[in-house]
Amino acid sequence: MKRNRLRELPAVALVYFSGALILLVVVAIFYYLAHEARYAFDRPFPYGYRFSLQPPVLEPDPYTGEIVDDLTVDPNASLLAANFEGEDGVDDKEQSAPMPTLAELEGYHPFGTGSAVIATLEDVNLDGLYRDNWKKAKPASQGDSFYLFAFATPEYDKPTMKLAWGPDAAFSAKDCPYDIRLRLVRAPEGVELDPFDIDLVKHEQGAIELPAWIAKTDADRTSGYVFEMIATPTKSNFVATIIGFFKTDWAPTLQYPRYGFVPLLLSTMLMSFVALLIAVPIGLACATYLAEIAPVRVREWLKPIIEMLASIPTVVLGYFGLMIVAPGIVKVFSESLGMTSGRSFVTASLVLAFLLLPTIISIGEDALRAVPNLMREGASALGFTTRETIKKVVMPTARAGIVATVLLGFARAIGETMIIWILSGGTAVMPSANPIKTLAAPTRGMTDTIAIEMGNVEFEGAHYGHLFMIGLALFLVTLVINLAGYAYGRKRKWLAS
Amino acid sequence: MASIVGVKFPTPDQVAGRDRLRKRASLAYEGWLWIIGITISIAILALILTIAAKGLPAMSWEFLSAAPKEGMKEGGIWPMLRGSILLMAGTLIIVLPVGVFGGIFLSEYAGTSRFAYTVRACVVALAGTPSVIYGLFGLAVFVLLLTKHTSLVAGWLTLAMFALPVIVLTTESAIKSVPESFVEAGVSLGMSKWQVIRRVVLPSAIPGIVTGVVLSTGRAAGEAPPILLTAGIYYSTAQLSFDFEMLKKPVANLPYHLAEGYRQGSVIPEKIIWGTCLTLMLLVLLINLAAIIVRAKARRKQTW
Amino acid sequence: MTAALIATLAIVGGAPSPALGTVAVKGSDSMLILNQRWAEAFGKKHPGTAIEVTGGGSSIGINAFINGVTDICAASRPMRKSEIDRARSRGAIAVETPAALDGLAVIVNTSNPVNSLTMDQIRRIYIGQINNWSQVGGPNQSIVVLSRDSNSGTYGFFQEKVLKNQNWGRGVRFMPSTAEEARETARTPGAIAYGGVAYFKGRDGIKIIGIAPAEGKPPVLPTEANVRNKSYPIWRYLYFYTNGRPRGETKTFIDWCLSTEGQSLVEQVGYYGLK
Repeated sequence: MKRNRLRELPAVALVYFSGALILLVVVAIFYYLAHEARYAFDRPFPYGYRFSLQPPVLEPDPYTGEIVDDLTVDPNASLLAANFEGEDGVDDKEQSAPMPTLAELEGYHPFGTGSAVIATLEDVNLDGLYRDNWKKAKPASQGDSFYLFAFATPEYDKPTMKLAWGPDAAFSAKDCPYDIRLRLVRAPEGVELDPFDIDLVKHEQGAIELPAWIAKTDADRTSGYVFEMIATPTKSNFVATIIGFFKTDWAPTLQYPRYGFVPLLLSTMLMSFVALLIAVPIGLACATYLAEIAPVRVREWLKPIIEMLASIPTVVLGYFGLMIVAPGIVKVFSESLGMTSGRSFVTASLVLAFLLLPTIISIGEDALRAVPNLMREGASALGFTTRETIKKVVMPTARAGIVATVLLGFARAIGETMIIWILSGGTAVMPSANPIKTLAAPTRGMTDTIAIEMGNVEFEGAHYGHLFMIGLALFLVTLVINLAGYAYGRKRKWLAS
Repeated sequence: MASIVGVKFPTPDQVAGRDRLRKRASLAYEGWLWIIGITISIAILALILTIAAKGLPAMSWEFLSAAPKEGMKEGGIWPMLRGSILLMAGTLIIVLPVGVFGGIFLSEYAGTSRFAYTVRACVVALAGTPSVIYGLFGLAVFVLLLTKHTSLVAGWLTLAMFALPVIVLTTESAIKSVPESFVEAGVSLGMSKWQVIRRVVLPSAIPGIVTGVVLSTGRAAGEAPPILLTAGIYYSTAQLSFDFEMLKKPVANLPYHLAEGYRQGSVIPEKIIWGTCLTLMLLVLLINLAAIIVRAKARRKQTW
Repeated sequence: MTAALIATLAIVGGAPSPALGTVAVKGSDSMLILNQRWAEAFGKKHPGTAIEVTGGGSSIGINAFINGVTDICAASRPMRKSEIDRARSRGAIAVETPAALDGLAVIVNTSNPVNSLTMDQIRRIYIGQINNWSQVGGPNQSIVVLSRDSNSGTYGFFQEKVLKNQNWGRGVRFMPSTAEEARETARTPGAIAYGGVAYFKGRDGIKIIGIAPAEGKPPVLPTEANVRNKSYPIWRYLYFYTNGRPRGETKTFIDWCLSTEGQSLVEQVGYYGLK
């Protein structure tokens, strides 16, 4: 007997090991998702402003007729920027744009600006001045400061000039964890000017009028106005990354990347919700039909058909949606919703609903079948019709199971990747407040963002880390929903036994 | 006692009328459910038949047995089909012991301990975890940490994780459905717990276990996101070989081919994509069919 | 069951192959088709060398390169300095070999009377400042803006080169492939899209428009000559990266790709050859 036990030991150990392994898998998934997500917190927060001198009155825009001072396209604006990921000081491209000399500006532009790469005001080297000043990447906890020199050429004849500033392309000061200020360091000799100190975060775009100052020689270019842009960090990198993650802008490939995953989360939730709105009534009706009404022979035919749908790979369903459903949707809705492309919220939701049907039908049927027959018999003994039996006895009794069905379907919808990827249109924007517009618009969820973008990220970089953060969020959300569904589903156990 | 002033009792005629209405409503409801049930089935059949009809023109022996050529525009999909079968076979071998032992643990050894409850909750959570999460995990651990490269092995391990929870759950329910009297008989013969499991419970539960294992492996084989991140390859001029080296290399497979085919747009002609869709669908359906047959055969042997 | 499994493996496996030299090419999805073409044609000439082509994205390829698990990394963008440094710290010296030229064409529906746009107009269309064709001299029709999705190197390239790193407008639709963009443009009168030139050649329903590098300059069409002499403003190289100078079979393959024969294949998939 004892020897027998010893011989069984490995097998029993294996059994326990397998049980432990399952636990380990969940822990490992959580651990490694978090482990890779930590790269998100290494992100430097880049910031950049453009500065340009302008005449007091601007020319109107040739396209719109409005006066647009978009400094990002002003060829003469200086860019002062820091903390670019992977940028190592001044790169080749920027070094080729030194601060303009008077001769270069003659007959072309009446102003010039520039910045010193090494920011010490005492020994400014005229050869080391650049129109664009890029500083090395640093974490958000370190600040930086830049000097900016500004002058007008001898051609300039007006008494005043404007120093205009604006954020660099796609840079949003509100999202960056810095306090950025512009202050006057030195006014040229003979110019009386109150010193100023402007909060660039509050006044992201603006201009200040100054008495004109004209450089007569190239050496004069640095002896006129000197401004300083100072950035001081306001938050730690960790806090800033977390805050950035819960913003509403997903634009990770920008030079000033934005990793707000809220639109992805909302789109995923809304798409799943709409899919459930379609799939739950139909699926439950079908489950009721199979569990309560269908004759055994019919049921034997229908069940395998429905199970067949469950076994179709989602990538095939997605392709089917793209080639067959999407064009149909465009035809139907092109007038009413103004749809031009089938890749949209509504198509993705529809196909997703189709995907959910077998799940909902089979779990729902199980839930209804778990209601003891005794109850149905009692109901009909009381003279209930079939409809009343189902609606007043079976459904309320199976409620926990039905709630579990809906929850599990929800988790399945949230986790679906290929259908969303192929059909949603891929635009990461917040759903619009107008539901009709949202339905017709392209969108993008969490799962497909991971699958689409993982191919083009720098591994172990900030974007990579944020994709893992999304993965972690997705994992937690489905975990909670699944466990809730499981807990609800267990409630009906007393009925079945 | 509350007064019942103002309550009118219905006349027999009224009762009969209401009953007629109730019956009619019930009939209408039943009719509605019939319509829904039949319509859904027809819609599903239509979907499957559409894919079949679109894919059939591409089907031929050559399509299934030849490699792609002329810039993926012609030829067949044999390397992808082979890759999918390989992925599935390996996944099956890896996941089978862990899944079955895990199921045995849950049904026979865990009881109602806190540990058992946690493990069961974990299995449920894993079963509902999106496949792209397994892909991310596979990428982080099997690809970046362990092998530094997408490979067949990484694909196997990732898919095995994906298939694991369903196998555990089906094994558990298969074992639980073995009648208690069998176990009692075994125990009364003086068998140890493990002997009962090994000699009595498992053989009776085999049909259910096989069904679960095959179904979940089939589903894993059709799931694109884990493969996309861990094991796919687009094209290779290498001769297909079966050796140790193969494990370290990524492998062409059907879901990856479809995803790339879709990503690359019209490079791969629609006909071939539909053909690939149909092949993948048939592969999974065939596996399911096999599971059903195995189950039916085993059922016939059962006498309870 | 076991027997069935073994039988399956036997069918699936085939005989162990003779030891072949293998060259793994991994990376950019924009180059995937090109690499596949090259591999296929090269394989016919050199049956002794196996070429394995994998996509996934430039970064996937660069990462594989850094980890030393691919012979050639195909990239549609130059490696970043941080990536080169990381490769160096792991003993890989990145050597860059341009393999083909890619000119991005901008297309509109044939029914659209607009024949050319300036770089600035295109930028404004894509960031959402211009949203009606009448603002750029066309009919009063809203613009349906199409782009590649963020999986592609083309996307990042266009954003940097044309959008000057500004963010995409709200209504931009992201397509999974250039072919899909062309299809969508052909059936949508107000559409605009961009992509590799050769994808669009000879397709019905769309036309390639000229692009003026700046306001007041004449528009340039993305012809082979214009792309090659760089007077066309939106172009880039497609690169091969190898660890050190290519050697052995890798060199044979790259040399063949750069030969007249290899370069003649380039145009079939939508890019321009280097010579």
